[in-house]
Amino acid sequence: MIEQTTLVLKNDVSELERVMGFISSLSVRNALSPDMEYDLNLALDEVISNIARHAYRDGQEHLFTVQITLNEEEIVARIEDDGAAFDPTKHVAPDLNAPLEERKAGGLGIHLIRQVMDSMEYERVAGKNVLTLSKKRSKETP
Amino acid sequence: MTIPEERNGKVVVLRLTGMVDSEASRTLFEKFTEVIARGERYLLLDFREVNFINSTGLGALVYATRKVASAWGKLVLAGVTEPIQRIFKISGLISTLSMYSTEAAALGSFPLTVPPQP
Repeated sequence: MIEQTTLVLKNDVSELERVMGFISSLSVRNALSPDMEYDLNLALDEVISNIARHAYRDGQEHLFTVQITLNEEEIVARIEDDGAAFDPTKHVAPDLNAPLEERKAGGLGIHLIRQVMDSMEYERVAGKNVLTLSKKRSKETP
Repeated sequence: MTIPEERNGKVVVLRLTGMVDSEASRTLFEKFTEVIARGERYLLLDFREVNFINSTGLGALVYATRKVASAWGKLVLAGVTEPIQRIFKISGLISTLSMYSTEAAALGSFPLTVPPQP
């Protein structure tokens, strides 16, 4: 393992700035490609935005964690929240061939995560959503 | 995100910078709504300085493109960088958005007359 960090975040989209700051410094430290950095930012942006907007319906502040592990082969992000159960792997992909006038504004986030990451796995463990995203470093473009 | 607005003849040019993330997308939605509500039909988005877009930003683009098209207007993007084009591609929007490499080419793509108000 090269490095592993766990970020504890509030259920607020303003936390994305902190996450992106972390990804940026991680990318510099480990010479990740611009595409890899973009893809990590995009996947985490989509997941964290979903949690901030939909996981908790009581209007209260909650904490959840994002653990990022980087090794020679891959980067893995494990996101754990104790909000409402939601399995994004069951989400039906949007119809990308639909004409623009029939497209819904939204619904693309999970599709984008699937496209930019190599795997997305979901478990509901002890009342928590545990989402694990991974991407091989060999797929990085220089 | 602040979105500077300029006019070039019948075309409203919006200059976007930085990250079109969830927060910025809200500003973008509001800007589109305001511009379209006052009857503008030709919109040009300067994307040269945009370095990130997420699904909410893509949603804002779909909304505005559809809104102006339904009023016989047009929305075009100029100077979209390669990383952003990649996201347009994987979201399936690359073939439905009008994109030009330069602002001059984008301006030249608009019809000579403005469509009538509905």
